[in-house]
Parts: sequence; structure tokens; C-alpha cells
Amino acid sequence: MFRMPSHRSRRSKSASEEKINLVPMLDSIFNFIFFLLVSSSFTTIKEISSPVPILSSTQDLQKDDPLLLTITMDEQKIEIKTGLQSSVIKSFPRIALQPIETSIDWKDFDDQLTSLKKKYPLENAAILLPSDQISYTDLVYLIDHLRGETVATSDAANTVDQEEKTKTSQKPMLFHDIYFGDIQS
Amino acid sequence: MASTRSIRFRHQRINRNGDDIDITSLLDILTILLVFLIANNSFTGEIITVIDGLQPPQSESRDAIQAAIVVQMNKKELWVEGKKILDLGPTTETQNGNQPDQQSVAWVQKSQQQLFDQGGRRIVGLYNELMQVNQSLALTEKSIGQKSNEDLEKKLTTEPKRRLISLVIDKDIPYQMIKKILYTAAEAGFEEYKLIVLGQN
Repeated sequence: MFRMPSHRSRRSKSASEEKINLVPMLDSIFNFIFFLLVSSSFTTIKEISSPVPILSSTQDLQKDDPLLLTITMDEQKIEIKTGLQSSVIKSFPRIALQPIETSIDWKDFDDQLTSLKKKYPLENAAILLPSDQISYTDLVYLIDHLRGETVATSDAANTVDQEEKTKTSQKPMLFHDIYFGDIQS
Repeated sequence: MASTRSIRFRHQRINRNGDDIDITSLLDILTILLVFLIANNSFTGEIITVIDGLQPPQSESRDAIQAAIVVQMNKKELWVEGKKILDLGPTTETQNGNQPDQQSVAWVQKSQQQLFDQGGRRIVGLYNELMQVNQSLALTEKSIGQKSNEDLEKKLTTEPKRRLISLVIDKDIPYQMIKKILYTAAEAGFEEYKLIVLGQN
């Protein structure tokens, strides 16, 4: 006659089932995690390249109307200047005692640079002329905007043609060659 | 009173001597942690040991760092490749208390006159150190060229390698001081500056 197996017999059967030994795998994962935790750094270090400016007596005859983008920055204002005469395109008065992020309308500043880039798509250089008392943080913040790091990708992508985009696929899309124009002074 | 030998406590007896701890869930957690660490790990290989009291500025730059000569500057010290070159100013805090270290101040006051040349544009100590580094780099390149074939030597002598300098500067340093470092590095023959910043995570 058929009889259901008792609980005791079922338990003994499941206990005898072979299990995969996960302990060596656990050991190796522990070792790997320890190695990664020791070797990893949780701060991302990046760089901003800037070539050393070189004085040249020769004129670039190919360019009739060079952009020569120059940005001046002091405690009172930030100015965008262009051309050989350094004509002021726009001046952005800085709000006193405000951090750099809120001291001017950065959206308007970015728009001005984007429109210049549209006009001169092959131009990548910008000359920076900060005043002596400008802090390094403020300087880096300005450089980020000049290089187009803060501009939305779609806006910046429209300013360059396809060839330029492929050339600078890993680079920001605005003026990424920043020159410090007054290190001789 | 119920005894632990009774049928009622049988399951507890079994668990008490059971030596099979289920580690599957632990393994799951560790695997997720492992994936997270591998995904966030950086394998660029360039490591910069930042000196005390130096906080680089935040930036949204996406450029990975390259190998270069490292110059570091906090509010009072200047280091080149892990070697302290100059103490640029008195500190307001000392190890013992709030009084400035008199010896340190005197040393700085004495050295202020000898700190810069060329009308205050060039930092003498930094220039001397960078020139030494530059010369040792040139010698290394030359010795590699001699040990290798003639083509490589010709290439090294006709196309000198670009000299790069990584500047790790505290976020509060004014441009007046940065300008001196830039000028000194250019004078010492470096052709490209790399401003080291903290990226966005």
C-alpha cells in the first residue's frame, strides 16, 4: 500500500543533497574587493591644457578678419573682446560679494560665445587676461565656460561642422585652446 | 514544563547543530559591490600625491591627466616632483598654538628679497629646480637614444619631446602668484601647462 513519506525521511533526503561549496569563491571575491578598495581613488582628477604663448613677428596673412577672442576678468566685470583692436563685444558687470557662479549671467555669456563660435567655427583659441587678484577657482570656472564644458552638448554641436566634430570628438566644442596672455607682464 | 527534547522543540535542536550557513545572499551582496567598484575604478595609471593644505578647484573638464612634471603650490609652500622648494609666506597656525612660527617668518622675510628676479616675474628657486629637471630629462632621452638605434637617436635630437608641466594649485591662490609660476615654467623651457583640477564625479 502506498504511503506518504514521513517528514523525517524527506528531511534526511534534502540534507544529503550536495551543495556547491561557495566558500572559495567568497574568499576570492573578498580579496578582490579588498584590493579594489585599497587601490581605488574616489576623487576624479582631470586636467585643463593650456599651451605656452609664443611671440611671433610674422603675420597670419590667411586670415583677413581674425577672431582674436580675448576675455578680461577683474573684480568688477568680465569682458568679451575680439579683433586686432580688441573691441568690446559685451561687458558683464559682476555683482559684488557674490560667488563666481552667481556674479554674472553665465547663460548670456555662454550664448555670446556660442554665437561667436558659429561665426568662426574653425577658431579654437581664446586669450585670457585676468587681473592679479582673481582667485584660481574663479579662473577655472571662467575657463570651463570658455571651453564649452558647461554648454549643453546639443547647442555646442550645432556650432561646428561634421569634420570638426570628428576631430574633436573627445574635446569640448567651444574655445578649448586657452592662452594666458599676460604672463610676460 | 516542556523539555527541549520534546517534539515541539525538535526544529530548534536541528538548527542549533546545523553548520550550513546559507552564504548565497552574502555572495550576492559582494558581487554587486565588486561590480560597483570595478565600474567606478579608474585605470589611467597617473597618480598625484597632493601635499597638505592644498585643495584644487572643481571643474567640469573631461580630459584625463597625462604624465608630466608636477609642481604643487598651497598657501605657503611650493613643491616640484615631491621636493619642497620654497616656503612662500608665514603661516598663521603652528603646531603648538596660534602664534606664527618666528623662525619661519624670519626665514621668509630674509628670502623674500631673493625669492624673485626679472622684476618679480620669475621665481628663482622654481626656475633652478625646473632647469635641473629639464636637463635630467634631456640626459635620459639622450642615453635612451644612444642605447637604441640611430633612427631613434636622430628622432629624439631633431624632434625633442614636448615638455609638459602639471600645476596643482590651491583654489584660493590669486592669479598674481599663478602668473609667476607660468612665466617661470615657460622660461625653463616647458611648452604646455596642465592645470590639475577636481572633476565632477
